[in-house]
Amino acid sequence: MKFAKFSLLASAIGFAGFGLALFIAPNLMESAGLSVIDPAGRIEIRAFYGGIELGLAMFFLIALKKDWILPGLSVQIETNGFIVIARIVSLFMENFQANSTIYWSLAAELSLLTLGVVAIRLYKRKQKEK
Amino acid sequence: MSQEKWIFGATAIGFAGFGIALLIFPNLIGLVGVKELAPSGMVEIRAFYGGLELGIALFFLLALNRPKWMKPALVLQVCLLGGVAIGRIFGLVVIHWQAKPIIYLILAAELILAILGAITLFSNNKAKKKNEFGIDKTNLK
Repeated sequence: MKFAKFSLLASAIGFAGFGLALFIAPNLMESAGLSVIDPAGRIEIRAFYGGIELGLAMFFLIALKKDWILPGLSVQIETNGFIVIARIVSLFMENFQANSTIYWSLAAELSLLTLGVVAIRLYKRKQKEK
Repeated sequence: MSQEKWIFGATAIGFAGFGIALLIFPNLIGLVGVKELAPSGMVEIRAFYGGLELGIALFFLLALNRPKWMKPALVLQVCLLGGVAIGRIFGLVVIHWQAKPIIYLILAAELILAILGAITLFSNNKAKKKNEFGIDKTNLK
């Protein structure tokens, strides 16, 4: 239970950190190879990267408070899992010609995915023992 | 089918639709003003728009058949779509509401789904507070 809660807290901190940074400074996405010179582009980055990541962080915090361990970890695994798969497939398609920000992002997402998978396995094992 | 299942179904279809579209055609993001510089930008759009949206769609599909996940899924819906809508409104305020019609269409869709989720969550909470004899306890506190 403690590890599961740690996993949810780590997800909340991770998404909140990136979400807040991109909400305040959408131009940071240029380091990931996106051009956001157009004002509409800044709206999109604030909404999707900022808003959705802060929304996810909020959900993980609520899941922690309400003990929604399984649905919380499920969201953590599905979101990070699909991002990791899509990033790796896309890196293959682009012949791994990406800058370091992309690889650092992949490392962070892979860490949160691994944390979630280990946490859910430990949690389910403990539940069976009870 | 219950109201929650309709909402989750619509949310899953919405996220999956946009997710698959941007996974296959990342250049579509240009419609909302984000111009990607190949190849890092292509990887980023496929990963974050494609991957994240498909992951969210999968969670809502799983929640369809798990009654205990109804409340967490409704809360997730309100957090995600409410967060995106707030982010978009803030962005619009910063540029004095000078945006293409497509931005307003997307905002409308996000707001509708967020409000639907919030109303369902609120009505479910209210129904739970009624005891088995049908007495509404919400106004007794």
